[in-house]
Formats: sequence, C-alpha cells, structure tokens
Amino acid sequence: MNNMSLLNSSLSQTMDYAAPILFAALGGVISENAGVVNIALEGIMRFAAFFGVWGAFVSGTPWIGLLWGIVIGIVIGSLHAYITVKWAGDQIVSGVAINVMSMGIITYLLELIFKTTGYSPPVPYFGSSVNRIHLVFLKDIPFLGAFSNLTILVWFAIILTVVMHFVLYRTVLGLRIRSVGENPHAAETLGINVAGIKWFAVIMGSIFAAFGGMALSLGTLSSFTNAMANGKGFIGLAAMIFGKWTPFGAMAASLLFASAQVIQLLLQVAASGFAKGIPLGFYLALPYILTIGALIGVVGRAVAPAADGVPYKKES
Amino acid sequence: MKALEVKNIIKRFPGVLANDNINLSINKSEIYSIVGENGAGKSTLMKIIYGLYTPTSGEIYVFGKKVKINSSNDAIKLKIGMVHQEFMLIPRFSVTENIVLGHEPRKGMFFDRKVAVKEIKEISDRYGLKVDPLEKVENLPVGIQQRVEILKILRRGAEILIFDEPTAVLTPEEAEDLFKTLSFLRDSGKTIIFISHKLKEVMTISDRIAVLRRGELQGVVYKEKTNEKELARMMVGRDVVLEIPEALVKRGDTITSVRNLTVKNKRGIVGLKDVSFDVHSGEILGIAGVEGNGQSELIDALIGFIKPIGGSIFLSGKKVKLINPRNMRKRGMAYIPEDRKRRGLILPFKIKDNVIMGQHNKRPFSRNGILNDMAIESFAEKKVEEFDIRPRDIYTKAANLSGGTQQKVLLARELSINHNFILASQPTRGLDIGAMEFVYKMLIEEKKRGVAVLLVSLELSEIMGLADRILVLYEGVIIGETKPGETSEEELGLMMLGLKKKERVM
Amino acid sequence: MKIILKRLFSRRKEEYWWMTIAVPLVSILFALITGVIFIKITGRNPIRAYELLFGSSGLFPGPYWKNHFAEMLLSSSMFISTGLAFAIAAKAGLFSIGAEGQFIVGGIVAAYFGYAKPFAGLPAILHLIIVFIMAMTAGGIWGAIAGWLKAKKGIHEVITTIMLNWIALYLIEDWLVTGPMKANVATGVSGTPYISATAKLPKILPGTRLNISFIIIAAAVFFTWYFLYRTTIGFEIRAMGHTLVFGMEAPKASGVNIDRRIIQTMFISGAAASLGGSFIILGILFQYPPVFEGGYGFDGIAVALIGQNEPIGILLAGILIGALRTGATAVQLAHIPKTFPSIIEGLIVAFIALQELVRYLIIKLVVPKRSESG
Repeated sequence: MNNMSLLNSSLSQTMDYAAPILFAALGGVISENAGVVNIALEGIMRFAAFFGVWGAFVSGTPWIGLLWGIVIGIVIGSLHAYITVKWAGDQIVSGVAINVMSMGIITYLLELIFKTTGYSPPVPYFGSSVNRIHLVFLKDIPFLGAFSNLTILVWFAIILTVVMHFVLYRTVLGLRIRSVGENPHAAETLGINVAGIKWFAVIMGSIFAAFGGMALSLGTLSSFTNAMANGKGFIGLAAMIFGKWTPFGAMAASLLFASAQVIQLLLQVAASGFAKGIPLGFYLALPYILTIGALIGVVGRAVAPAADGVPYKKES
Repeated sequence: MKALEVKNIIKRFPGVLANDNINLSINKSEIYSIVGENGAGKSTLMKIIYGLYTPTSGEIYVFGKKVKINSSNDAIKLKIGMVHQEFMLIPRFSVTENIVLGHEPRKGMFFDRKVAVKEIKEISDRYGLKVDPLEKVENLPVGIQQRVEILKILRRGAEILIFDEPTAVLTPEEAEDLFKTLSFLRDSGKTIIFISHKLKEVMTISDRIAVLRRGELQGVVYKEKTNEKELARMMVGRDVVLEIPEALVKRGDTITSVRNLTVKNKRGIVGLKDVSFDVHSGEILGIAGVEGNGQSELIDALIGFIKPIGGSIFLSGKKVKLINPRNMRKRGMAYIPEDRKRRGLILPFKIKDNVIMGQHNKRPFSRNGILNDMAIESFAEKKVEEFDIRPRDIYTKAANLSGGTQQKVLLARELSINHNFILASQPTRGLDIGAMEFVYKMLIEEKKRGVAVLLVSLELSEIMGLADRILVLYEGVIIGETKPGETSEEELGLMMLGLKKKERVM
Repeated sequence: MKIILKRLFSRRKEEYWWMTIAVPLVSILFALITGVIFIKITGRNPIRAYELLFGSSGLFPGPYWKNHFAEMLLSSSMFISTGLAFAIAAKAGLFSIGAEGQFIVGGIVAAYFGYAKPFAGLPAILHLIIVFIMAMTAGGIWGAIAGWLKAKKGIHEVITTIMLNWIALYLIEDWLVTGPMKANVATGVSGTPYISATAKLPKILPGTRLNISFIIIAAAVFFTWYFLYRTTIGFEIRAMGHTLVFGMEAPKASGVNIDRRIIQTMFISGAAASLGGSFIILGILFQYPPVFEGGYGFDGIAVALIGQNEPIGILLAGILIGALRTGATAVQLAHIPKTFPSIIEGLIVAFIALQELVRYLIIKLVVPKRSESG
C-alpha cells in the first residue's frame, strides 16, 4: 500500500468511525436546541441497531431494515417526549430509563427471535460492496479518494449535517426550535407551540440517533452484537457539547474522536522502537485523553441553550 | 368606545383568592392604570386578560365582543399585547429575530431576514422607537430591551397594550422616555393598561386609575380628582407616609476603602475604572447611577465574585489580599443582594437553615464540622421573633414565603453575621411599602450602631432619603460626589447621564 | 422533647409529604404490571415468571432461601455502592456517570493490594483496612479528577466522567491486567493473581457466599446520611445542589468554597463507588479477571433515582435491584432471558420520570374527597 492510498483509506475509515458518533451528536443537537436533553441516545442507537438488523433479516434487504430502525427511533423518541414534554418529567431520569430498558429488551428479543444470546446472524447490509456508493473517478485523487467507496449512511451523515445547519439557522422552523430552547416562556407568549416543537425535535433527534445505531449494525458490521453502541451514544453527547451544540461543531468533534481512533490503530501497527513498548491500553485510551486535553486547552466553557434540560410547564 | 371590559372575574388558587369579583371597563385611547401592593392581584388579572391564566369564573369583552382567551395566542388575535415585568426576550437572538418570532416573514420555508430587518426599521421609525435591528439583545441596556418588547407587540397589531410594572427596571430618564412613548401611543389611538405600585408615576401619566387590594377592586378614580395620598390609603387600607426618618450620627473612622478599583466583567469589558472611595462608621454612602454603569462590577468585586484587574479593597482597615467571598465575609462584610432568590436564599431550605447560612460552620451552630440542631433552632426561633417573620414556623421553606418575608429572613441572617460593613444592593427591589419601611428602618439602625453602609440603588428617592453622601457612577467612573442636602433629583439625574460633573476632593 | 415533637408536627404540615415514599412504591407496582403485559405479549407465562423471579430473589422465604437471601444482599451491596456514588454527587448538583470507572479503579487497586507481597503477609484485619483505604483513595482520586476539571476548568462533569470511564477501562484491561499485574502464566491463571486469604472478606452466613460487604455498605449508607444532613460540609453541598440553576451564587456569596466542595464531593462519590469494586474483588472474584462484566455504575444511577437520591431510599432500592438480579437466573426456567429484570428496572425508572403522572393518578385514586374541600 502506498502512502496515498493509506491516506485515503485512513480518511475513509475515519469517516466510517465518525458517522455513528455524528448521527448521535446531531440527534443531541436538534433535541437540546429545543431544550430537551436526551441521554437516551445510547439506548436508541442500540434499539435501532437491533431493529435494523431484524428488519433486514426478515426482508432480506437493508432498506427495510432502515425503515424498521426509523420506526423504533420514532417510538422511543415519542416515549421520551411523552415523559419529558407531556409530563414535564426529568429528562435525565427518562434517558436513564430508556438506556436501562434497551439492554433488557434487546437481549430478550434476541433470545426470542434468533434464539441466541447477545448476537444476531449476519444480514444483508449497506457495507457490502454492491451497496456501497462507488465514485471510481475519485479513487486516485489525494483526500477526495476517501470519498470513493463510502456507505450510503456515511454520505447521509454528511448531508444531514449541512441540512441541519440550514434548518437551524436559516429557516423559520429552526428559529422557533432555538427560541424554545432559549426561552420557552417567551416563545409561548408569541403563540409558538412549545410542546409541539419539543415533540418534533425529540423525535427527529431520536431518528438521527437511530441512524447512528444502524450505521454500526448495517453500515460497518452486518449483524447485531450486544456490545454494539458500547458508549458511542455518550461519545456523541460529548461531541455535541464539544461542538457547542451546532451541527458543524458536532461534525468536527466527531471527526476528531474518530481520527483519534484511527491514529491509535495506525500507531499500534506502525509503532516501532520506543512506541512499540507503549502498552495497548494507552493507545486505546488516547482518544479519550485527547478529548479531555482538547477541552482544557481549546474549548473552555461551552454554552448550552439557556433553557436546556429545564422541564417546561405551562402556567395554569 | 370600550376597548376592554372584565365582568365579575374570580380567580382562585389553592388557598388564595387572587381576584375577587373584579369589574373593570376601559375606554379606547386611554391610559388606564391599575395600582396595588404586591400580591394585590394586579398581575393575576393581567395574566387572565392575556390568556396565561384561566379565570375561575367571569367574563371578558374586547371591543364590545364577549371573548374567551385561553392562550396568549388568542390574546394576540384579539389585538392584546403585553410587556411583561420580566422581559420575554431571548438574549442570544438579535433584535429582529426577537420581534418577528412567531410571525416571521418567509421565503418558502426560509426565514427572510432582509424583509424582517426592513420591517423593523419601518415600524421603529413610525413610533419613534429607535433600535438597531441587528444587535443582539443581550448587549442592549434594559431601556432598549423594553423598546424591543413594545415593538414586538406593536408589530403584531396590538390595540390594547398591557404594561406590567414597566418602570421597575428603568432609570428615571428611561422612564421619562417610556412615558412619552405611552402618551404618543395613546394619542395615536392605542389603549394602554399600566400596572404599577409607584404612585408618583401613575399620577403623571394615567387618565384613570383602578386600585386593587387583596384581590378586591377598591375603586376607580380619575387622575384629576385624586392625589397620591388618597391612592396610597386605598391601596394599603391605612394612611401611609413612606418617610425616611433622619438619623444624625457622628461619622466615625474609615471602615471600608476602595482604591483605584478597575474591574473587567464577565463579558470581558472593563466596566469599572479607577474607582476610589471610603465608607465610614455610622455613614450610609449612596451609589447612584443608571443601571449598567459599573454597579454590578463594583458589587461583584466587593463581594469577591470577580477579581479586579487593578486597585485594592480595604476592609476593617486592612487590605484584602485574596479577593473571594470567604475572605470578604471574614473581614466583617454583610451583603444584601438585589436578587435574593439568586444570590441570597437557598429557596428549598427551611427558614432555620437559611438564617444560619454563612455562620453554619461557626460555633455554636457547628462543632468539629457537625451541625448542632438545638443551637440552630433556638437561634432561628429568636430571629423569627426579632424580625417578625411570618409564619412563625422555622420549618417553613423559604420558597413558600412572600417576597417581603424572604427579605426579612435575608436581613435576619446578614445582620446577625458579625459585621461592621453592609453592602446593600437595591435592597428594596420588588418589595411593597410595608417591607420597604422595614428595610429602611433596619439600615438606619445599623448606621446608628456605627456600621458602615454602602447603598447601591437605582431609586433616587431611596438614595436621597437614606444616604449621607452620594457618589454618581457613569460609564464605570465616579463622575461626582454630593450630599442629599446640597443637590436635587434633577441635578442627580443630569449627573447620572454624564451631562454634569462635580469635582471630588479626596 | 418539645423540638422533636415540633419537628414531627412540621413534617405533617407539608401537603402530600408521603409522596416521596408513595411515588417509588407505585412506580414499582406499575413497572411489575407493565412487565406482565410484556411477558404476555411475547407469549410466555407471566405468573410463572414472577413466581420464579420473586421465589428465588431472596426477598421471600422458600426453598434455598438462605442462599438466595445471601446472594441478594451480596449483589445489593454493589448496587448500593454505585447508587450512593451517584446520589452524593447529585446532592451537590453534579451529574456524575463516573461510577462505572471508579468502581473498576477501586477493584483493580483492591486486587493489587490484596495479592502484592509486603501487604499479603499482614494480619487479616489490618490487611483489609489497608486494601479498603487504598481502593477508596484510588476511586476517590478518579472521581476527584472530574471534580477538579469541573471546578478549575469548567468542563462539564458528564463529559469528563464518560471519558474517565473509558480511560479506566482501557488502562486496566489492556495494560495492567495484561501487563504489570498479569498472573504468572505458568499457573494457568488469566487476569491478575488471586488475593491472599487475609484480604478476603470474612463470611458471615455459613454455607453461603454472604460476607461482611453488606454490613460495610449499610454503614456507608448511614455515614452518607450523616455526612449530608448532619455535617457542615453536607449542609454546604446540599445548598449547592439546590442553587444549581442560579450558578450556586447564593452559597458562594455566603462564603462557601464551591470549587473545593465540588472536588471533595466527587472524591467521596468516587470512594463510594470504589467500595463496590472492592467488594466484588475481595468477596466474589478474588482476582481482577481479564474481562470484567461491568454495568454496576449505570445500574447505580437507576438505584439512586428509584431511591430518590436519599441514602435510606438507596438502601432499599439497592436491595430490590439485587433481589431482581438474584431471581433472574431462575426466570430462565420460564423461557425468559435473564436480562428480564433490567426491563423491570428500566420501567421503574421510567415511572419515576413520569412522577407527575404517577402523583396525579395517586391523588385521583386516594384522595378524591379531600380535594373538594381544599
């Protein structure tokens, strides 16, 4: 492998790693801009990773899997919205509940459907060569070559980031979403349907997180394992905060986290001399140490939407 | 023509009758004031009219038509607009975004910023309310923020404009401006409902005045046929004269000094420049000034929330080396913050826990780091008695107390801390007359005891009545020093605007 | 005496004061009912499932009760430890999800001081005390790092605790356990060496695995209550938690050293979580295994929430979760996966989140007449 193809494949791998994190982070961005904290991203990713595989297993095509995953995203998102918006429940508590349930329910269903403990059989997925988006003409160009062989889910993550940016900062809907996250009482007095906006944002956010789960089970891998998600939802949450609650910020943070992962892999392979003596654990921990370092050094105090996480109750 | 009529409005909250059979009839093109003490039911009534509360019973007529107002949306449709006491603004949004929110000009699904900005310019010209459409609201002074609120409701075609205590946060000059605006709006056919408990300004601008007390309507009077005294009697139910008794005390030694204090605020702007003064034992030093001219920087530095970038603070005659709240407190500082819910009390804590906050780690309340409930409770019982805190139950949570009572708890706490200096920042903000009297009395007693008091206030009458000396802050600098006997509110007003200087001899 | 009476009287006066107890109880009930529906939908027998679940949970007398009871308390100790860790931080207004990492940090340090040479020869009591002090200090420091980053650098504790969890996991599993602390390969042991007998937790119920861990954790529950409600530092911590939305300005203005308290709180929180890690190593596994079945940290959040962040509530919630986990194995006899209890656990937490609804239902059902007069 020459240097250029190593560069391109590393970049492409970075994007592959970044996509699930980015989806989760974008889910967090839209939800928290409307003032609802969603730490259930992790659980939703796991649910969707499983349901996506289930759908693909039943139908034989990842597209139906994608549909199933979206539906479960809507269902869980609705539950979170019902608890936190309709009943002004604690957003963190609700998220914890969903995360805890995701473990139990999925293992339950795995045994019920696949008669297995902790993993599913392989299913058709977006990562297979037929389903990838081939842009052959880019293949030998530095940097751009990384885009020559991505899955549709990675492309979608990139497009979604751009779309989200425009929706949040250029459209009427975005203005209203942000106003609800900043000062729901003010928005209410202006006749904005605060609860409606929050429901919408939470459900959209959950759908994005669902895509994140499927980027794992139908994008990178072709099956579900119980270790799936494995904290990616929480890393997504960190990426959102790191990215200061903006879509492009979230993208940059996701790429940073992912590139730390890839660098760690490269270092492990390419390490020589002194670096070879460094135990694997340090390489694996590196992305997380880097993140803390970056937060100390560069970002400083991030600013959340003013009414983020505050249950909104209408006066009676 | 009647713009708004309310008939037999009753609003019951659990345990409280907030509005008891209220009947009002408000004409088009009039400025109609509703006065009453805190808790008299003014705000409740307005929230009913604006659709934020549903009345228990009663009817509302707008321009002669019987209506049901279930949400602020309904109110907006009926051309009712409200400027809330706490502004309903989004600090991080621009003026334009704040004004058009909810009724945005669109280009397809996109927000058409250009058209919006143009609209704002037009409407602000029409009503003579100058604003910069692109500025972020968080960067605007309070007076301008209020203008944004007014523009917001005007743009939605409001014919009936409700102002809930609009001058509470304004300087005298800003209030002047507001009154001009209100008159202009009335003359151009709008109906204004003005809620206040400041009788002086009500007498200045109203056509008619309705007085509420404890949820009941006491009467409606024409401005020409009444006076402040009568209104006050109707409001409080007895004769009130809020006079501040004079207390001649011999000024003693210097207790607190500030030298060349320069402070950068949280936004990174130098808000206080090279300020020096002394406060003596037995003296109340007043700091006058328009809000946002360095008061909060001065207070934050004195209590130790911000480390100054230059200058020094001396407490009890000694220079404070490490400026933080703990060290300031150790050197005998008591602090009455302007926002008692934010900086004063722990709302979910009981009275007994609130009155020992700050001394909780000292004997007899704590021994070797362990709390002593017996001592805490007997202390709290004593304070509840001494400060006439009602209910007399030391287990009541601070959150369940009225504003005036909360302030008493705060005073009980701060004044029982071993202190020789009081930093009082707008100590009567949001209080009714009875509670104000109490605060003034306490401050004067402290002064007689030989305590040094620094009083930062936006209320000129308060400063003129209480202070022995007055310093005026303008753009972070002390622009002059004077004494109540040697100046007038007008002169102070000019100084506050930076139009007049008075040399200081130090 | 007068004061005691008065205090009791004042409790009464707050309307619906019993809701703190009623809400978790009703939530548990609702969760169990929802569980029935769930089992029914998936075509299994709910009655049989609950019989098996509670019959072998250790909560009720029955066959092998002694063993189930012992296992219940054994696993409860771990959940209570991480539950306390979450609640202590939560009282100060900090949302720590770091118990997971602090738990394993405590575990690995307990393992090290359990087998390492100079300590392994000490008398049992002394050895145990040293092991616990070391483990708690390490877990405490792991927590305090997040506290320091919050207090001095303003980095949100949610991010730092997540990151520290991963850092702890990788450093332990892919460095310490496979490197410096690896057992002698010749012995055929993977993971760290086994701890010496003097570091094993003494058993207290013959014929079972039950050891003193439950006594230690019960003492920790009392200590936590005492610390939060009877000490000046606890007073300050609660004041901070109550004023979180106001940036803790009120306690700060009263002279509370917020930064120091944040670091201290996170230290104590971490120390509490490391107790659980020590229990599992010193009382159950006797070594740090190559791969650690984690999750106690996250279950601790659920335990704390069910226990309403109050020490006594956490004790009870921890026992409940421990009981569900103990009964889980038996549930498999009804062809239900043994992770079923975590569905129940999640549902309980969901109903706790829905407490406005739960309260509303309780008031509707329980106090129909009283609401008329008020």
